Amino acid sequence: MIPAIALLVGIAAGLLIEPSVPAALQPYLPIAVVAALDAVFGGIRARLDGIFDDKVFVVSFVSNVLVAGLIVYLGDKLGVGGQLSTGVVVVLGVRIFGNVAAIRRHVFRA
Amino acid sequence: MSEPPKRRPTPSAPLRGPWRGAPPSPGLAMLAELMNNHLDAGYAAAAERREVEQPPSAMARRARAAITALSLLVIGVVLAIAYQQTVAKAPDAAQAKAGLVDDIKRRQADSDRMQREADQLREQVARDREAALADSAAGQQTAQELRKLETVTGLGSVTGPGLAVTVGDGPPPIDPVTGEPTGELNLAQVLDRDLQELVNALWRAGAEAVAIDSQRLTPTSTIRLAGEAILVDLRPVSSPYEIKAIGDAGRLNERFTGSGVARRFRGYIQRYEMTFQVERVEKLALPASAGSPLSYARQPGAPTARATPRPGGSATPPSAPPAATGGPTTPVPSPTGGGR
Repeated sequence: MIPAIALLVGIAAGLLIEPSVPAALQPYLPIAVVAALDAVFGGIRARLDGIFDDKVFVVSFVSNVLVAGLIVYLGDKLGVGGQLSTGVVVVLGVRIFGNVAAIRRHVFRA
Repeated sequence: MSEPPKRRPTPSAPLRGPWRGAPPSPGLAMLAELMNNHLDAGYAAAAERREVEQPPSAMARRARAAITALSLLVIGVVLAIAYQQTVAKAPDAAQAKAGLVDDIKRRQADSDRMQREADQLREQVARDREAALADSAAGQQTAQELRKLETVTGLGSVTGPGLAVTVGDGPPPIDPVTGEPTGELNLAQVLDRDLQELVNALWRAGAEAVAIDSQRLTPTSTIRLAGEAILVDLRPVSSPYEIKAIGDAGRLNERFTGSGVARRFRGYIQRYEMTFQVERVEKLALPASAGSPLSYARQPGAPTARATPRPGGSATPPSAPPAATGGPTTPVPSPTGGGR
């Protein structure tokens, strides 16, 4: 309950305050969003499975974002940023889909 | 935030579906892992650990819940920022672009209006001159001579029968996978040299006046490539290019279509899917050229000639385009007069 409220408060705050992102960080925003979504859906699924753990959630979120950002950063430096971004999005996208499917099975029993 | 305690190596997931019984291959195992294990293995490990370890104190539980709430807060902010960046900022870029397009259109309209004004004034000058010269026989002769000269120099508008030659770019190379243009060099593109050769072939076939996309060519006109666009006397023209030539239509048609240049372009239709059409037209109207600044001839080697100021300096723009940049493409046609 509290985490859901925190998420909504964060969205509201972001929309109201409109924080500006430094130009250097802007290329990483889409990757950060995908990594964050992966962490959120993974957390929800774990919660429904009854094995949610705060520490695992926080660590996986932070490390996912950092690793995804690092991969894209390295890719940019090596000139294959686009391809590596695609790779990150594919891997995280598959996970998001799988977790959402598991959540769906929990919620709708179907 | 410390790393979670050393995790036991997760047993690889039992292969399901068509992979069952497949020989172990690292790529396959990775794919199976990717497709079957979506949940972070840490959750299961933590759950197992909880069963054997002491439950954490209420204090620690609350602290962890607070950290979770905090990271969800951060996630919310990230999502909101992403929304702002993609949805809210997109109109900015579109607006800037629309503004620039508007600006270009306005300037183009301005320049067209000024061009029309210049044409009108030029016509008025011509009328006044005719009126002034009409009085005497000598004057009439001069007027006739002037008209002839204006035809060959492109300074007067002309009408008459002639040829309309249309040449256009072929399709750009297409990537067979995506169906998008590959962005490679388009061999089927009409180049400045192509237009130069076509125009020269028309002159050679006996054209008395030539225009590309309603841009009249003069003996000092230039046709050259600037980036992607072809400029005729510094004004852009675009594919398909319509080259109109006035002259004896029959002879022009025969000599032009029989020329090597026309033969080559007919070959391009097959090879590059470029368009190339030659059509006889009974009545063509070519406008006067936009007007090149007047410059006086001078004797080579005359010591003082350089200092000669341009006549009517205030009326003519100082930026006389150097005719040599693209190479004059049009040899002076024989002043045969007719075609008016």
